[in-house]
Amino acid sequence: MTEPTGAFEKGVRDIARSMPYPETPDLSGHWHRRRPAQRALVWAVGVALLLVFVLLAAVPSARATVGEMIRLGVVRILMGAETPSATPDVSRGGNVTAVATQSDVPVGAIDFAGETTLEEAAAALPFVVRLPTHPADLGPPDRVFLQGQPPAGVALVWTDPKGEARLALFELAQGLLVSKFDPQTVTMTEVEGVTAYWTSGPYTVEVKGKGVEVRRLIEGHVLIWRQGPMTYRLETDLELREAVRVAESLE
Amino acid sequence: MVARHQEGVFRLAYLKLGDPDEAEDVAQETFIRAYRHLHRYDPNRPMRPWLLGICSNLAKNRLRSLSRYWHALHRWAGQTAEGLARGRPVRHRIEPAGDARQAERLWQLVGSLKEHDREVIHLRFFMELSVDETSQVLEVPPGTVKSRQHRALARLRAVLAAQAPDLVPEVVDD
Repeated sequence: MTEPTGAFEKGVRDIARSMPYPETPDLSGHWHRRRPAQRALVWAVGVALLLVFVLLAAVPSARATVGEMIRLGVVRILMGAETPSATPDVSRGGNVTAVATQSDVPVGAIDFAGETTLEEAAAALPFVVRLPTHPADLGPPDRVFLQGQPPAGVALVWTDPKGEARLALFELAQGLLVSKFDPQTVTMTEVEGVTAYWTSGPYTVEVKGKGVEVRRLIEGHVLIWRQGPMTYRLETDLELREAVRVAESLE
Repeated sequence: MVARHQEGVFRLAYLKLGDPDEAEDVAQETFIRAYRHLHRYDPNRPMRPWLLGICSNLAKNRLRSLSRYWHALHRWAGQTAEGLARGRPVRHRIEPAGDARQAERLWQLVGSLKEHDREVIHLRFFMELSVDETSQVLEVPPGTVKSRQHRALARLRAVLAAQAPDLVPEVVDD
């Protein structure tokens, strides 16, 4: 008898599996109809938080702290932050590699410097470039751009027949900083069971790092998630669920 | 987040509290707490154990709180009117049968154990969490989960042998 509780343990597990739970209520539908006492508490907490935010926002040094709400890997999402113009700051003397401005399509025109081939990018980058296998007919990217000098990121772009980007996957290692200024909406979701964020434009995104400074206006949706040391951004006009499927298909 | 995890959170709250209305309150509070403390969440780890940990602590606090009795009294006095007034359906209990009845009996007997034993059995056997997930919920090392589980099963076995020897046949066969 090497495992004295083995059969008993299995028996308990088998029985517990049939536990008759009450039907799970739709909790998301209850957020707006809490008990009066709880609602009053929520209001009190809300007013108190608002006061704290107003007081902090009055202090310039604290404003940045208030603005930086979410950070995931090399991406930070600044809510309510002052939005810089979608023009790169050439006065910094950095090697400004690209500018893409507003477009009529959700993902928008993507025309960075540093265009290369997938093979050359794979050889230059310090990480393995992963490609989505969903949708099945996606194939390899139509355009590939290295980001940073030395390269710390790559943008893989799939285009439509007009040459406009329909899907853009950014694979970013440490060394780059991506800032999103005041997206219209930020939704929490998951990619492979780990927290991810889904942002909606229009908002300005800024990528900074050694040898790269890019600002673009994002009009559509972006899924941001992290796996190990890597941060990924997927710019897409797909629905959230489909975008997650693409994200979870990386190989 | 709510849609994906509400079932697990609600079920754990129900296992610990045994009252669907209180479980619903705790589950809802779990998500509110989670949003408020999102900065404490490590995005490199799965979200489910983190949420279940919040839920477990809230349920424990509720069990310990005297307000529970006040809530129970309040609910007893005005359940129907309150339920209709705030759109929450009045629950009707359906008596379980067969395997479900056995499971409920097991759950009731687990309820007679001490908190440390109860929670590890709830997580490992009713919620079917792995040792690693359970260790994240309880914020203890996996080895501690295993030792707690071992002790909890031994105590449960004693309870079953005394009170319900026919419930888990292996209680005497092992």
